[in-house]
Amino acid sequence: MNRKFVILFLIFFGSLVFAQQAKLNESASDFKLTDVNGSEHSLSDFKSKIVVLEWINYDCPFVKKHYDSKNMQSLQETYTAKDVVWLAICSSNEGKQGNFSVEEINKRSKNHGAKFTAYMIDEDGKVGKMYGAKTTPHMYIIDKSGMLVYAGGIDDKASTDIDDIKGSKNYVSSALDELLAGKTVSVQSSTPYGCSVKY
Amino acid sequence: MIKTLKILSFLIIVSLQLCAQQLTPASAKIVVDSYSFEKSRSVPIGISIELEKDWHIYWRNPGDSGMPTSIDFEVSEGVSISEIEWPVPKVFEYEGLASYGYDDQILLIAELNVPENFVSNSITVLAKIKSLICRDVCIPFNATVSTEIKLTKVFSTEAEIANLFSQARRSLPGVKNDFELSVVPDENNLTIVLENFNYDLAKINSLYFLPYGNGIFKNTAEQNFKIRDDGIELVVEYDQFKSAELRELFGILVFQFNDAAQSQKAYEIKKQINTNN
Repeated sequence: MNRKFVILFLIFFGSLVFAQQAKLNESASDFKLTDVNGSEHSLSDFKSKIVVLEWINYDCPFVKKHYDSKNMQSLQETYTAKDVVWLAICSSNEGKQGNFSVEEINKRSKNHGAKFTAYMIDEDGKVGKMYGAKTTPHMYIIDKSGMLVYAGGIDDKASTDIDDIKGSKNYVSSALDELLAGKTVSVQSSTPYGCSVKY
Repeated sequence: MIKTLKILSFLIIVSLQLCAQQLTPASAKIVVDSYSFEKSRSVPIGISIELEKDWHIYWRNPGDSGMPTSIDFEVSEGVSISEIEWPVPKVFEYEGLASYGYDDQILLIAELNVPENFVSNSITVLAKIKSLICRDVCIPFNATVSTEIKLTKVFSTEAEIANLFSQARRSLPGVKNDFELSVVPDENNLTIVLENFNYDLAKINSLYFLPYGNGIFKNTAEQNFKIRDDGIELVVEYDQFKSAELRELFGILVFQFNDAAQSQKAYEIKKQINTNN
């Protein structure tokens, strides 16, 4: 009886943890995922660093907008050079768009010249749902104290046109520049746009 | 030899374009409704978009994903065009995400206003459509369609087109005029209170609010409502990462009734939000 109670308690507690909704200005929920090369990473591995979470699906027209233009890679390169950790996370379920083999992911990443720190596989969508990730791309920024300080779109032009990138306000670079300058993030959320995450 | 190559190149280009048109699971055209200049100096037009099975296109607020459908018009000098009228969208919900849009066929109506001193006997209309169409995957659907409308004092459109316009107009939200509306904001939700509502409250199967703007409310048609003796309370949750403070409630209330026809009615509502509401 006691053992059954403990098991039920653990299941209940575990489901609560996974049902936890990420909130701005609160500690970002920890998670552990395996990257495309088989290495495990936890968010807590990157304590004391600024971390960017980028929800990705290489076949989504909105992700293509930012990768074909080299916009995303440019951000990745600029900010990882400033010690920001950049995690691309794919929550596409098996058989859904964006869920590729390891070989295909690495081929696409190489062809794009992607400069993220790691490409993480979230096939069961647990981390995506934990963070309320709706679209690809959907961007999150965690500051050095582990607090979620930005959640939303990459910029303010919801379109698939590469031409719209130049004139748009990039919320991610603005927030990162503010954090790196020791300031608080002035625009902490925006409406994310993109394809739906293929849970 | 060169002449043969030129003909061959032309045929290849035409074939590729035809293939592209056939492969795109959507098409668009401009249609014109009946009008009479004796009654008013306006010509109703519609952008008719047809989609293949299982594809959908988005409302002015796409919801959790997608992209708002936008149309930029160019019309003859001197003529003005109204804003598009948006039929009540369907809600596509999957895995906790909700999008708002249309499938099968949609007609987006606008009115051309022709001034008294307009001298030409025809109006040119060009519409640039920018949109996203989705099934399990999404593709951009960008199309430029145009037409030249020969003006007459009275014009009667074909029956099929007249039906399209009637159907679209029946699907437009009405303007709230038969109930009182107040709102009660709190930290996580907004409660919309409807009083003096002139419908059989017991027949309301479902009620939800769809905002015109995105990023403030959680996108869903599963919204909690409570029937009171004198009206209805509808609780609309804020988005997990609400991107702005709510200053104005602007969107549509959609009622679904459990009558024989399973009918649906929608009203556009607009209300400033302050602590005294």
